[in-house]
Amino acid sequence: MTLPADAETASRTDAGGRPRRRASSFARLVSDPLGALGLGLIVLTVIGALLAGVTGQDATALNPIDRFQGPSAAHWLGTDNLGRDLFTRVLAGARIALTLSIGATALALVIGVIAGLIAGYGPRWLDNLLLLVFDAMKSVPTVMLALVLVTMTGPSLYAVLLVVVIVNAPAYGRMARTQTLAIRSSEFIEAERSLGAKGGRIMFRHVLPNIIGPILIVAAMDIPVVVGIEAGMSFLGLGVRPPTPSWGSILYDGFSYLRESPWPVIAGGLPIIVTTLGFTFLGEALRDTFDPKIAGRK
Amino acid sequence: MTKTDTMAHGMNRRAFLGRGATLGALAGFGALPSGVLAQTSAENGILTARIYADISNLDPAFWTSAVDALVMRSIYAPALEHETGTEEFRTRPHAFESYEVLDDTRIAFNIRPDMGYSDGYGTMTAKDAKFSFERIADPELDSPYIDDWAALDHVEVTGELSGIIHLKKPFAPLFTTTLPGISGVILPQAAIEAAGGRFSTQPPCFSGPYRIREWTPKTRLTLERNPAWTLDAPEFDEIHLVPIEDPKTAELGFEAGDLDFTETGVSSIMRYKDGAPQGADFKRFEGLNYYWLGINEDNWQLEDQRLRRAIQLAVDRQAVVDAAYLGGATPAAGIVAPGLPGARDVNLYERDLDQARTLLEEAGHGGGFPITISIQQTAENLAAAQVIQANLAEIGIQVQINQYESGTFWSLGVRSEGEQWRDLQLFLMRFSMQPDPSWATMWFTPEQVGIWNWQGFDNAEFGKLHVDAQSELDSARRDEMYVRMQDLMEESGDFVFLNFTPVGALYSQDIVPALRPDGEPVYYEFTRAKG
Repeated sequence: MTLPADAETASRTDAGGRPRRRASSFARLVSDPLGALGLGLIVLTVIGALLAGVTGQDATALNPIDRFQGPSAAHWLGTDNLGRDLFTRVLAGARIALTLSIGATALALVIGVIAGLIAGYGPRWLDNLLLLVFDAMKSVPTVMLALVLVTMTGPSLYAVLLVVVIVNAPAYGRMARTQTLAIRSSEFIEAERSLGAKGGRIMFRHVLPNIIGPILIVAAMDIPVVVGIEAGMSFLGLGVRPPTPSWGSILYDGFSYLRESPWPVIAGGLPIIVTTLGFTFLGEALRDTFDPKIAGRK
Repeated sequence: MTKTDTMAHGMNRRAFLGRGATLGALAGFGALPSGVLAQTSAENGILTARIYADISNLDPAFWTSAVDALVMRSIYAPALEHETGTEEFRTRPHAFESYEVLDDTRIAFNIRPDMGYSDGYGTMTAKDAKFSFERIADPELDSPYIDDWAALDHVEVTGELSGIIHLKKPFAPLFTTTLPGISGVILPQAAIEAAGGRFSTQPPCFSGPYRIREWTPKTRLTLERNPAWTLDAPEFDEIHLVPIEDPKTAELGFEAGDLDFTETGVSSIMRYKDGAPQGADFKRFEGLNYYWLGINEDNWQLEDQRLRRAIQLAVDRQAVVDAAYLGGATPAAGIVAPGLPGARDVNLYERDLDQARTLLEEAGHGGGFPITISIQQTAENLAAAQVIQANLAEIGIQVQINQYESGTFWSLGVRSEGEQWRDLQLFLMRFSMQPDPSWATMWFTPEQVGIWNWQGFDNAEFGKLHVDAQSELDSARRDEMYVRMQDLMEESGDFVFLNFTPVGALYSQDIVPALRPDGEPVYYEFTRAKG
């Protein structure tokens, strides 16, 4: 028995069983100018990532004779110090940035939420132990952590992924724990317990659906942070290895040769700005849409 | 050779995190100052110049970087000095008033009568010369520069200011790098002993035109006129040396008017050659420092010489140098720069992909194999490594680029620091150089394996030639010996010689820089521009 969730399900459908509230939420989301802009920017980035490889140019092919060209019909964003087409590299970088940011955030979310559920629903000693772990993980500076991990494992996408998981999972865990504590004594949970439901079933079938919404919104807002971490690590030479394009490495190459041509810096910086703004706007719009207090005020 | 020299052209990414983005954005949108420079040399007789790293050791027996040497030239007086403003390296007496070559193993000298020391250590004597030279040659001191005085037998003091250097055998580098170099610096025994026998960044006394007034690590080294200096007074009251690791940042600092003089990045040479900023002049020098791709023959995967040869044959030197230096440099044919004895004209193995593929097949790696290239994090190294990566991909070798910050990089091939040298495969390196070929070859002798010789190049003939060439005074014969040594290096399959790193000097029109033929600044000789 999942009373609140079931009750919510009922309210999501109209008389014909079609989704109702979800459609209206989406309408509210896109009716917010910032939300629509955020969604548009994200869609643009996703399309760019999907189109990577269809420009007819190789993102890693060197052509030094064409280095530092400005934008033209052949090279929409110009070329870098090794004559590589910047537009093609930016699109390829988008694929890496999105794959990594969404994948790493999802992994951090799964780990954090499971740990948070256990902390919130489990025995007190386990709660204290997990809190200690969350706080310990959160206290490590991101750059220091990245340096240590890269020293141990070498620069790679996996190292970036590990950094993101270690940095973000505790935050999701704390949030899940707090929300779990808030509803663990609710009547519907008590009712489940009295019907003999096991802890695992209660946590994942009844508690989780009621706490995941706000955490997902926070996760969406974290995606640009992850994009920033990936770009920052690649800028520092700690992320993806050359010649694989990353927005951070494009930015680094551009910065190194800034006096020769500004285009690589623009090409590397622009998508980071676009993606960051997109996810931030969308996250804020999602929060405004789904937070009953804010929605009520509106 | 000093390890930190590679940082002269490097870029440390972390150094830019705070300031870089702002500077970059400003420069990108043309917001940086581009008008007439307002150099600091106009203010209070101060010359402000960039050094690529901070000082680390100012003991003539234990200095570690080219920056140390650069500073020591202004605060100490070596026996001889290299002239500035000349096309070729020439030496002239400095602390020595005169010298005479009595025969191949005896050199008589006279110290200038008016060479004073700071801090109450009196004036320079022949006893000081004896102490200073024999100190570095003393095996018990364990100076890394013991080879500079490898042939020294003893110094005979014949008078207060006169003496005779006795050599065990003729020693060709004596007048090219030893006496005009840091190993020719003369300091009083009492001062060194008062410092406990050795010192680092706090010299017990000064014998040059300047002395250290203040040192704020990582921020500024301030030199002021040395009152004990009685020869021609230097032009500037003070010299401020600012450590700026990245040459591009230094260029921005210069263009903002914060520096009077800076070495530019090599990749900026063509840009400045086309036009220096208003109020500034630019000069390009053929540098002596050499840059190469090293191949570790002691790595299990590269033990087969055919594989190493295939790599040599696959690398397109011209493309690598073009990519790294944007046309500012040309490919090299060795480690001895043109103009020095032993400079080679051509390499033995030029790019030949068919032969490279054949060798790979013969070695059982027709399908290629994965390999790593280790580099220090700089834009130039990264560009060069990516071209090498593309070159080797053409014969099926998949190269993974590993970037390291300088501290980690410089330990990769040092065998006393762990087992990581075993995993080292390809690497890009640059060594600094003095104007004698022995300075280039001394790092690749069998004794240097695992110290500076990371290739594991262990050739007895090379080692013998290195020793013999130091004693060879016949220039033609010496030339042949150094050419042969570089042939041996290349034949081993352990080296791909890339280039001699040119030097770009950017300076305010308010000053007249004093630069050696390799572009190395001698700050105490800098003057103001007249009129």
